[in-house]
Amino acid sequence: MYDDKALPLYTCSYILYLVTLIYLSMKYMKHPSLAAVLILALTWQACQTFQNVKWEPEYLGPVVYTVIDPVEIGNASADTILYASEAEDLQISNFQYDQQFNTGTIGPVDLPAKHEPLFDLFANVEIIQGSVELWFENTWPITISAGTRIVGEDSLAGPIFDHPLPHDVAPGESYRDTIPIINKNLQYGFTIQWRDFQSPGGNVTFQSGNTLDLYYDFTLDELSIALVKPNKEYVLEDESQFELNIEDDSLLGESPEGTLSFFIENNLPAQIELEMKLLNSLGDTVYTFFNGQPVVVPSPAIDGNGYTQAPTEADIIDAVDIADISQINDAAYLYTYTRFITPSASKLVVDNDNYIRIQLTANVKVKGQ
Amino acid sequence: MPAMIGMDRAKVHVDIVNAYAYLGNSSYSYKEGDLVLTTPDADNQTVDEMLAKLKDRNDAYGGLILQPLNFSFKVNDGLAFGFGWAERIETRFSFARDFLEVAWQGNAPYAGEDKDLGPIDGNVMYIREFGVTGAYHALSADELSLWVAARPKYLQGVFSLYAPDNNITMFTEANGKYIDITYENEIHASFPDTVRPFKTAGNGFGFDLGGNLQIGERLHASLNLIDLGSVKFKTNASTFAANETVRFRGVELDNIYTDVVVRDSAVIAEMTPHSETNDPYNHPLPAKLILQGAYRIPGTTAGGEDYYRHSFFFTIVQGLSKYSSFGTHNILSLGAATDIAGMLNVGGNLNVINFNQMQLGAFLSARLAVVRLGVGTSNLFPLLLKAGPTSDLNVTLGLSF
Repeated sequence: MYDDKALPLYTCSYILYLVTLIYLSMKYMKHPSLAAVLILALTWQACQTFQNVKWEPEYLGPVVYTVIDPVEIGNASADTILYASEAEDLQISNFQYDQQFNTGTIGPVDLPAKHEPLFDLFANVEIIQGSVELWFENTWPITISAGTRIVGEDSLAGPIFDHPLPHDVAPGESYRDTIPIINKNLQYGFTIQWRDFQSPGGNVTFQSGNTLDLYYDFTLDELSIALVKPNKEYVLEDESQFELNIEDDSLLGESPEGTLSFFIENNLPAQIELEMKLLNSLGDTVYTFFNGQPVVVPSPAIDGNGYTQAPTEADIIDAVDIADISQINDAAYLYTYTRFITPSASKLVVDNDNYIRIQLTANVKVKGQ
Repeated sequence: MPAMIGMDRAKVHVDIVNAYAYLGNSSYSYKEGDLVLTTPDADNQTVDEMLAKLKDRNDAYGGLILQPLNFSFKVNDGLAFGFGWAERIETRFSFARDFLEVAWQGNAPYAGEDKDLGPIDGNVMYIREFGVTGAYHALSADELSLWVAARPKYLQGVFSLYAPDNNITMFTEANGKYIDITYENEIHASFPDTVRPFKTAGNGFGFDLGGNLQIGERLHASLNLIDLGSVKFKTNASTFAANETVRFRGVELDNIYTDVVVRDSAVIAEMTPHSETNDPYNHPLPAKLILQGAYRIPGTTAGGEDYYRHSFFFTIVQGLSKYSSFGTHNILSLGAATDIAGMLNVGGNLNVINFNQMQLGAFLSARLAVVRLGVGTSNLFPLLLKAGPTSDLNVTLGLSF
């Protein structure tokens, strides 16, 4: 994460080092400029003269910010989904579990479709560009033939993907592929299904309870528009790696003075409640932001077409005392807990113009010499 | 002043050494600067006091003009010619007190207000000048005499930094949510890859024009336009320009819920936008208008040679080129000189710079046979009392016959 190995940029010795570099770099001229010599001499003299001067300018301004858009929320909320199939669904006439038998040639046969909700927060997603990753391990004792199809459909929007296996997948082998999705609409009525399942079969034993597990995971790259479910609570919890190594001889000095402030701007059709903590490498909390209380940012007003109007804001001035920076130095992870509470409305729309913006600013004394 | 070559009583005048150096600023006296540099206990209060002494706009300047060769000769009473070669290094930097105050205190004390950090102008020029002077006695009557002269000059540019009319404005949002910086910059530079004595980066032409009027025996007036022209720098020429406002909102972090990506690589470039071109540019000379009037009391030496026993003069110098090394400063000077037996000339002058700085100058020249030696300064205060912010020194050694 953000690694602040601050440099002692303002020490006299560093300035002198820089000026010396400038002078030496000019030495490739046959006749070093008198101006370079003069600058070097004046800088050395100035450093000697002002060695007791403590230069401590006070900085007020932004440090970092992040903009969270619906694509990022959608991808964070979309879990990997399992589509498990039972062997008896292969419709083998003499099928039995835990007994060896000759299956004969299997298929083509359609296994039962399964329905799964996607992007829990979204009721409807129009994807301009995205992808779905499919992977499975063939845990059955039969080869799955090339041409067997994995099909995903939306009950209202029609086919999303139709992927034939390009080669046989033998027992024990794994298969993984990523299929692009362009200009598709995903809704709650999404189903996934093995179709035209084919296998050469053989003299095999199927273990009871042994399912063929197909995993799939959607990724949004760009969406056109999405509908958000009203009156819904949705929580995103996340731990991201975080490192902040501010050394004693950094710009903040040995006794830092100042504060950090947070500014949150909400342009999503949802009330946001945000909690943040810093954890050490053992998972223990080393610092809790906002005194442990969640920051609440109300939902913007929604117009008659379901679009947000003006963003709402929450300003947490002086949220962090820079004197606590030593605690933050022990952090290894940033824990965020974000609760989205969508308002009541007949329609709630998000598109690429919606966002949450979180900004960190600083009002600190920078220590020079 | 070009017309002077026609009014010189000597037929031939050769300068062996002619050097002029100047150094100064508009804010600190030499005494204050010397005190700061030699005081081992300068602390934060010292810096605060130094900043308080600055004006809204401050200038620092310096220069060196050397004439390795300069001679003139009178063809007859109506015509004179001259030739001069000069090496000129002239610099001037302008900066605003606000810029240093923000650098010293930081931007936090000025949150919520527009802070004008400019002007930030710079002018450094090293040129070589070859001038040919022609003076013509245009009017010669009983009580009136008028000499007019022109000096076209071929200029060679060695290096240049020309940054006219630069301004930076900063606004810090009251809570620090953003910092707006408005750039209005144009910086030209031309520096050679290697510094060799006669390697140049550009050339140009300049003109000096002048006229000297004598009324009767004692009244003199002259009007001169000096340093009209410019040098076009072509070699290694770069122009950096910016005219926009940028808003700093912080370094952007992406993918906050997955693998955080820090997008800091473009921050510096985004905050210091500029376009760069390599077109030649013109660096103007420090054009000046010089008006001088004098009342001279003639005398005759024991050898029967005419000379001016006493002189009283006033001089007005007005800079004409705002972004040149002289700018549009003005100097008003009142002076007097006494010539002793045509061999020793000593005088002094009181100068007022821009109507707010006073200087006391002095000069001394001696003539022994054909040899002339002169030394002078427009401000004795720094040399004697370390007072005053500006001083210069002129030394001349020549032959006149």
